[in-house]
Amino acid sequence: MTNATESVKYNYITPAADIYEEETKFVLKADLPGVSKEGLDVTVENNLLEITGKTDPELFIHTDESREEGIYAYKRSFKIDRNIDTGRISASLQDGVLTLELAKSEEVKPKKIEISYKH
Amino acid sequence: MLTTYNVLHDINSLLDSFIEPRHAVHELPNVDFEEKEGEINVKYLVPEAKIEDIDIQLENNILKVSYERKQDESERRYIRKERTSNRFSRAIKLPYKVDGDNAQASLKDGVLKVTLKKSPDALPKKIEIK
Repeated sequence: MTNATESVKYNYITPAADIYEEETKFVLKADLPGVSKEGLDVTVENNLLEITGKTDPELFIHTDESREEGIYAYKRSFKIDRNIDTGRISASLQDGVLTLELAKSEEVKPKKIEISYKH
Repeated sequence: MLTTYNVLHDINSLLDSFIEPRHAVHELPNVDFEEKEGEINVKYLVPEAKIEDIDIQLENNILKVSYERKQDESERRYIRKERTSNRFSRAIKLPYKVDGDNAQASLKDGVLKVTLKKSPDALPKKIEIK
């Protein structure tokens, strides 16, 4: 179906996303129904987090003339700042939902300050 | 809680910035209906759905699908909340009678697919002249 990469046309959709905060991390959840592991791409470059998810071509490609042909794909970018440790981002995909766990960098984590007693 | 709200407000500005505008041109259909040569395929977008969240009923030529995404119980400190707590019940009148015994449904990657075949009753019959 996709012999020449250049000929593939994608119809991009912005997926809905939730972000919530936990003590040591931020969690991002994005709805990517129709995307399997093979079609998912999550990259971090220059503090830019980019999510691209291509749906299974068999699922949504429309061949009838009333609709535009093309494979549906999700794409969304987030700018991340110093509060996130870009080296510690983990991703999982289940039931069409992407979950990204973004660990907070050490400097913004709540710290317990030890009190030392002088004798 | 007032304290939580204040915390959120601060963090909002740290993480938030959008780079690209929304690609609003192509919206993925929440329900996709396709009929081809006596076979009907209906697809529903149900991210996060488990099999037990979905109820499919076929009565005469009405296909009814109900789905409820279970709400998250825990009180999360949301910075951004766009995903809706999904719940729908949708009935589709099919163009012809289908064979209920051979109806199939599958759930994969948040997409529910229901496949129905035309009932033998609905096929054209040749009537012999006596």
